[in-house]
Amino acid sequence: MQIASILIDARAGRAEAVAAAVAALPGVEVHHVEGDRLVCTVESATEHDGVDRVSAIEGLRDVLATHLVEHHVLERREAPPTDPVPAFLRD
Amino acid sequence: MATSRRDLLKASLAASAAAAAGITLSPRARAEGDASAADEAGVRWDRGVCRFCGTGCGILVGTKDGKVVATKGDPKAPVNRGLCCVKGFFNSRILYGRDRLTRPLLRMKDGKFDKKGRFTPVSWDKAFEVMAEQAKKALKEKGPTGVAILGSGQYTVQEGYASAKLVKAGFRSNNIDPNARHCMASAVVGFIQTFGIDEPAGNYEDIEATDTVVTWGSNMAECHPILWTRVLDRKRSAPDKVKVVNLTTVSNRTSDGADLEIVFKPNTDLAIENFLSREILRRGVMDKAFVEKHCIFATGPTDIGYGMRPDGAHAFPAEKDTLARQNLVTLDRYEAIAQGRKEGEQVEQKSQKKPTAHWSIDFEDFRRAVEPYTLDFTAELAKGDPDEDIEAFKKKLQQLADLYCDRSRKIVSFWTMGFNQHVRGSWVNEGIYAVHLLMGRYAKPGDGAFSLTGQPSACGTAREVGTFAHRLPADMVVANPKHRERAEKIWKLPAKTINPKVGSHITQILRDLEDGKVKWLWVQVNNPFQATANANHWLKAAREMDNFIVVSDGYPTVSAKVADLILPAAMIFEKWGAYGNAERRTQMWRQQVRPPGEAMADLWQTLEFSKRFTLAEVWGEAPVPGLKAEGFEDGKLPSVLEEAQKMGYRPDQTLYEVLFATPDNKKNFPWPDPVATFDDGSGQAENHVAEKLGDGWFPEKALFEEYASFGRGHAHDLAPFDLYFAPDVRGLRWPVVDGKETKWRFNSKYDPYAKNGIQFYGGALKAIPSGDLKGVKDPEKKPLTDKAKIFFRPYATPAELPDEHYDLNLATGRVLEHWHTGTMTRRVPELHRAVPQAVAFMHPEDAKARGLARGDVALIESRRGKVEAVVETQGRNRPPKGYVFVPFFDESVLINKVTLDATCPLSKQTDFKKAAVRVTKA
Repeated sequence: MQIASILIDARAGRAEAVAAAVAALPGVEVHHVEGDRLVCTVESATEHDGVDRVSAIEGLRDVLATHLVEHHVLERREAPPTDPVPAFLRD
Repeated sequence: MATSRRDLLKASLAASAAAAAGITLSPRARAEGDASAADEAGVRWDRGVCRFCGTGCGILVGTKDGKVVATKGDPKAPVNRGLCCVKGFFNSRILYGRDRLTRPLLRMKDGKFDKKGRFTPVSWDKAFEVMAEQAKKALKEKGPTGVAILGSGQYTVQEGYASAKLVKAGFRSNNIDPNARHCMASAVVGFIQTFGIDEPAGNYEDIEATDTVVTWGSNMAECHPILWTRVLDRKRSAPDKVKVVNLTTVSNRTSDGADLEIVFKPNTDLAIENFLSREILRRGVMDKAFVEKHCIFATGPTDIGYGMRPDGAHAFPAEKDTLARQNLVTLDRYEAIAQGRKEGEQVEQKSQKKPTAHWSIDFEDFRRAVEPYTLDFTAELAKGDPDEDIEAFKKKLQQLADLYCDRSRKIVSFWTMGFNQHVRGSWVNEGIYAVHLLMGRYAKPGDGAFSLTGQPSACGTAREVGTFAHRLPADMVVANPKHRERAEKIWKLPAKTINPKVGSHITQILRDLEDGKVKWLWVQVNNPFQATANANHWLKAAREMDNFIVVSDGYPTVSAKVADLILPAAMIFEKWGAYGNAERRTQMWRQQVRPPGEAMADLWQTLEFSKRFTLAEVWGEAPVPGLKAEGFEDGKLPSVLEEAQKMGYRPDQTLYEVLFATPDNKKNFPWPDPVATFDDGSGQAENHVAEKLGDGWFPEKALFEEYASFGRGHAHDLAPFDLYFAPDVRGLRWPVVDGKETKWRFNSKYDPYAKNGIQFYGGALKAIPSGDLKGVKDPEKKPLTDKAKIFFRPYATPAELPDEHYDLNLATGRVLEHWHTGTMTRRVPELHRAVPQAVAFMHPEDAKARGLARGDVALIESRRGKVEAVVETQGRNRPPKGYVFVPFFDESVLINKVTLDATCPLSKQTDFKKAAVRVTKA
């Protein structure tokens, strides 16, 4: 389980519309809106899920840019390496 | 975990994000943030640097119970002011991937090394034993040129320094070259030829100081997102005044934030620059006083080929027609007009061996040279979107000229791989300086031309340390006897230890591998078998030739897969390190956690390996084919053993004792050291390199200080090691003189090395012959002390153009979420091999004409190889018709099997942006 805070730059005057669209995404919460900027948190199972979520936000209409501010790993699901020869290297 | 704690953490994160953005919080939100901040107790925060691109964002690394559990943008970092891009997610993740390498792996059969064997875990001792045995075999058979290291712009400063010293001073080879060659070698040639010293005059603060930002072949929004944010912030601060222009070959996300987008045809940026220079002269707005006082005009040969192999001995049959252009070029209409010659004229490429030659010309020659680059000619040549109206395109070029010619505004040009990965990459870098210098717009706040870099220490390590085949630290070069002498003095080497013959560049090392000239190769912090163009040749050479390849990495890469020995590497916060970013800022960090399993830092690997060689084994007489230098017998390096003994060395001493753990280093830099105290005072950082070596010295500090002695007093001054860890310091931009960094170089207001206003004091290539546009007239070299050169460089046609068989242009590059070859940012390989992640961006009508729709699998094929990728017609990269863009992060879409290994002949940097391909339904 991971939590990240992100900052979103919306097109001028579109922050509220962006906030509504963002809040509809699973695991995303809008905390503050000021001017054209939004502060959100993203909850995800893994880093890749977090990246996918931020990419989805970037793809939304009227989003100019998103930034990651802080990222916490509360619990890492991925098991540590066990086989010293990863599958990719086995012929 | 209780929901309430999770909610509190969210409130805390939101509060710190709001603070980073300057958003005022309600008292309640602030109180919530404060309350949960206390809940983070037990997390130790210490300074770090982002592992990815060349921007150099400062981050804080949060550690608990020996694991990195959090990262955040460092609010004190001037580069990123508390923000990160989405790749920030990976700064902790990269340490904990499931397929992390934790043991040395050697190909073995029946209990011993066998090139056809399977990867088997071995001890470090066994790994080094086989590795040293193979290196000694190669040295004996081929001499110093038989061994090579492929290094990196992701090396820490100390790793790069140790590897360069091992190769140059230890093995007496110059075969060390970094992946940074693929990244900014053309920028380096541009800097050295224009200013006589490497790296930009300005810095990122130019963004806030300017009112015009022009990106040339740089998708800043995706590839340097933090800097792009600073651009957008600047635009927002004065929307009517500030203008942003994106010059690009593909409509992309940077275009979305720009006031003006100009889509041009690949390679025609050269023509657009000359059009701008012509406009500056035509409109009479040149800064005559600046140009007369600080500049001269220059040019060089045009018959320089494309950096391909001059013979076709190893070529696939289909490659031969492109290769033939290396020696003979038939001028097309545009190239003929651009160079003042006749269409259809056949030009033998006679200057392939001296492409960097140049001479001064007079102003009238320069004016004549740019004269053909009229608006009509440039527009016809450069218009990149076949569907765009020519008059509309002309209007855009005029608007661009209006901005560059407007004396009332400031202007900064930014570029990255579009310029640098270019068969005339060095020229196009010089061309933008010409535009800025004609207007007197360089080395002043808000007025600059700035080469962005792609790797975290392409500047700090590859360039400044000089981990290149031709370089020594601090802009010195092996071909210069005075530079060798200085390096030998600092390194305490006998005279003539350093080999004066330039080694092979990265692509050439792979060509040498194919030719059986390089028999032993060590790949460090790099994935060359995925990242080098025309990869089918090198993949085959690695597996089918008699050679030995070692790959050090944290993860199993394509390069690891074709290696004979894999060494597990410690990554970023598992070791101490220093990186240098694109604005000359050197930043350092401490070890935060221990590496997993038996993984060890690259620095330890280099130092430990050096213990396996005695002076007697490496400092005797040695053959170097083609060596020709004053004071040296042709084709041979002399034995320096006798001289070494006079200096007090013994033949049985190891390279470790002589080059690294020297008496001075051990005496002056003991480990432990008080600088290891974490920023929050909570304890002492470990150093697994020092601890494993176990002989009481601090290698990262000792080697940094030794390296810094090259540049101090020579305009490359670095601060003392400890100063980089001072509480309020978040990196310092060199030259750092008396503890003070330099923001704008060559400008006496900011740079202690400059006197009386602007002074281009760089010392390299500052005496040249004179002539005219046809060649040298007077070979006598005249000095041009303290001046910059304004080069005329003509438009040149790419090495390969689309034709009836291969009808589209292929360019490769990066995307926001993945970095380079994806080693650290992709999902584990076996998961995504089933569904390739990298897509082929193409125009919907080009797809349709080939029976393809969005989501179909397409076969992309060139003269050199083929791959399959999923078609994307609606993505954020929107190419014009005739053009396909494929990112290179995904090893299951190994696009470099398709690309062409043509390079800029001056810089030897590959042009990854131009190859002719055909696309069909798979």
